[in-house]
Amino acid sequence: MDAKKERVNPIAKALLLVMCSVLVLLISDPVHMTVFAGLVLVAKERYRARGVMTKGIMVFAGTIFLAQVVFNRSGDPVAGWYVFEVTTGGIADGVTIAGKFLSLIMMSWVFVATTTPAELSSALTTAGFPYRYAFLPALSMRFVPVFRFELATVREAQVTRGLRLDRSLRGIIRSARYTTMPMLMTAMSRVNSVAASMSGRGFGMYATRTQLKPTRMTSSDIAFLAASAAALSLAFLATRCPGLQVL
Amino acid sequence: MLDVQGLSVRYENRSKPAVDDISFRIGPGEFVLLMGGSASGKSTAMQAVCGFIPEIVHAEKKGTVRIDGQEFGDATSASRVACMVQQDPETQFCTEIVEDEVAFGPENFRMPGAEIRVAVDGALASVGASHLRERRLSTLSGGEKQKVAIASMLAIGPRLMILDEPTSNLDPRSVREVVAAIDSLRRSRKMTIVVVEHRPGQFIELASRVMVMERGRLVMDQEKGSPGFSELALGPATRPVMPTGPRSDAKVVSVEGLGCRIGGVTILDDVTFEVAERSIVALMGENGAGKTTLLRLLTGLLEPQSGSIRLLGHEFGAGRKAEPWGIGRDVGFVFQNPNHQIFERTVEKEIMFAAENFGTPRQEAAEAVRGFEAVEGVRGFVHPHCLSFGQKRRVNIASASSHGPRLVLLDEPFAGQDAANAAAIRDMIVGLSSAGKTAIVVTHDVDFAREACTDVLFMQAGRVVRSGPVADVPERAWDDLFSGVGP
Repeated sequence: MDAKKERVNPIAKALLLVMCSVLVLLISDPVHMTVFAGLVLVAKERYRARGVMTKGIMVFAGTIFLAQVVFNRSGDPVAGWYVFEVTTGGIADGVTIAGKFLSLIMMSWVFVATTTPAELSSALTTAGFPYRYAFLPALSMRFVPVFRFELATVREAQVTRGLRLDRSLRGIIRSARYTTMPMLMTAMSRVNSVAASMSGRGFGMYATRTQLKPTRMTSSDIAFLAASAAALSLAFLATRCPGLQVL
Repeated sequence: MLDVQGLSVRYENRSKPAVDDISFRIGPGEFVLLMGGSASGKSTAMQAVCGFIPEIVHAEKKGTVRIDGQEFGDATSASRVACMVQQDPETQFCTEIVEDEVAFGPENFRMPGAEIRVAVDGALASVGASHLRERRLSTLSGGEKQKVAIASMLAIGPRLMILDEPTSNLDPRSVREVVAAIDSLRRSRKMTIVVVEHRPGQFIELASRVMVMERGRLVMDQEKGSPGFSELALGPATRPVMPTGPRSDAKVVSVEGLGCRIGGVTILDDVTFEVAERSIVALMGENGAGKTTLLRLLTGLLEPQSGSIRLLGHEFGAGRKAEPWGIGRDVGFVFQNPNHQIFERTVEKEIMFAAENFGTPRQEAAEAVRGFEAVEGVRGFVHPHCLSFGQKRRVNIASASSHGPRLVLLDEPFAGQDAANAAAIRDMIVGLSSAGKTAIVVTHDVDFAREACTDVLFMQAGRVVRSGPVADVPERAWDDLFSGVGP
């Protein structure tokens, strides 16, 4: 992470994410959407943001685009094949909707890549959120790698016991059956241990808690937010400007 | 300091109490070693002392527990004066960085930032872990994690600290580090400390008093210097259990030049060894030496970057992909955590599971079911998750070996086991050799290696530093192996 990114308060980053999401939903021009998605992609690569199920997300975005192309008959026809007709409206809407989907997902990845759960929990607590809930992101993320490791171990144990799971419906049901119980048992034992550890160190004793390293909103965070809001507002106005409408 | 009177704890749907009407007093500054086998009630009693029962652990509790004359209704209110470090530190961490974890308790008690910093500094220094302050918890060794878990409790400033099997799952070097840290606490902070353990180990030197529980009752309470104390110090006697049957010269496993990197880190480096048929091999080394990775490579679950493996007719390695399912027909694997490898709803189906999946003859599996029922006194229709930890482990071993594999790999089967359960597991492993199978056992238990194994394979930092018959290992070398002195 670079120094500039580290100084931005997580709540400021969360508010920026919300503002960008609103802008994404308001964009209706496919060229503007493509430009915005391209900028988000640049940010994603810049901050090395990675997400889960990337292939599945790309496939889903492609499905959205194709569905619009195949079934959306608005605009002028471009090509045809038997009963299917490709129109300019279908292509434009396909690009716009798929672009919205990908942009929202990638912006979330950038937020996660630039914000540790501990920082977010700390910022929420400092901002006055009840710490019992503000602590949830940090606690959840603490155990994501643990459960990922345990799931991998359960899968390996299945292989060594001769379980062959294919991608048929029967295979998926068997996989769920033989994965659920081991994961449930380990999760339940961890829940008790973590609850005991936290209660045993006074978590929940008082309505508030102090912090060794509180994350406070500074004037530069507020300036960052104000500048971001101004930039996004200008971008929104630009998309509505008749002279800048491409399609 | 601690006054327990008439304490009884009964879990839901159990006819017998886990803790049955125990009473004792512990004075300030005492160091008490609380011993007992699995299901003796020692951990349950201490959970009740700290207020975990009935708030977090659902069980019925009777009797009184007073700490410095005060009764506490739950764990949170008791936490300022009494704390409990659980057996597995991994499961009690709720942050990602050492400093954050140690600061967690003081933050909950609303200590000002400057005081938190002083408390964190002091706690880490007390356990010799100041250099770990900025480290991610996931990068620490087992011993380091245990020290951080202790420091996270110390930072609150409790008057009573209970440690539940703090050296379980640790290699001998880490055990020495943790014992030294606890000894340092005893001398510097003059706290009241209770250590719960199966065996006396090195804690007997530190203890001023030993209490023993059995089937929920307090059966012994001896002060240091009393006649019974020195007998307790010896611990339960272990009996040599030599593998029966002649060893064969035929090689079951041949590994040459094996190298493995994970996430850019070298885990194994130029590992070469052979394993003879019907031998029992103790695979030893400090935590992080690469033992579990080696087992995963032998089962084809991981692909090495260099080297080759010849195993029971299967040849694979770098550039030659393994077929894990095919290897699994000949190799059984018992993983560390019993809960990761229980898939069925009855003991019988669980033990038959592999035989059904591999399509091997069910006779051996059926015999294993009957054997388990006879030895454990457990019917085959019982759900495996209703069994004790030790019984689950033995179900794992039966399940992994009943489909006719000629080689069985076991990853730390003795972890968390008391003497009786460890002996039962030891018998099962020796029984594998008697049945013509070969076993490779990852273990820290030097006694098991010396008394029940034919060969030892010692690893350090991803390399094999010693391999060969147990009989050829000089007496002094066993201590040197874990002190980092070398072969």
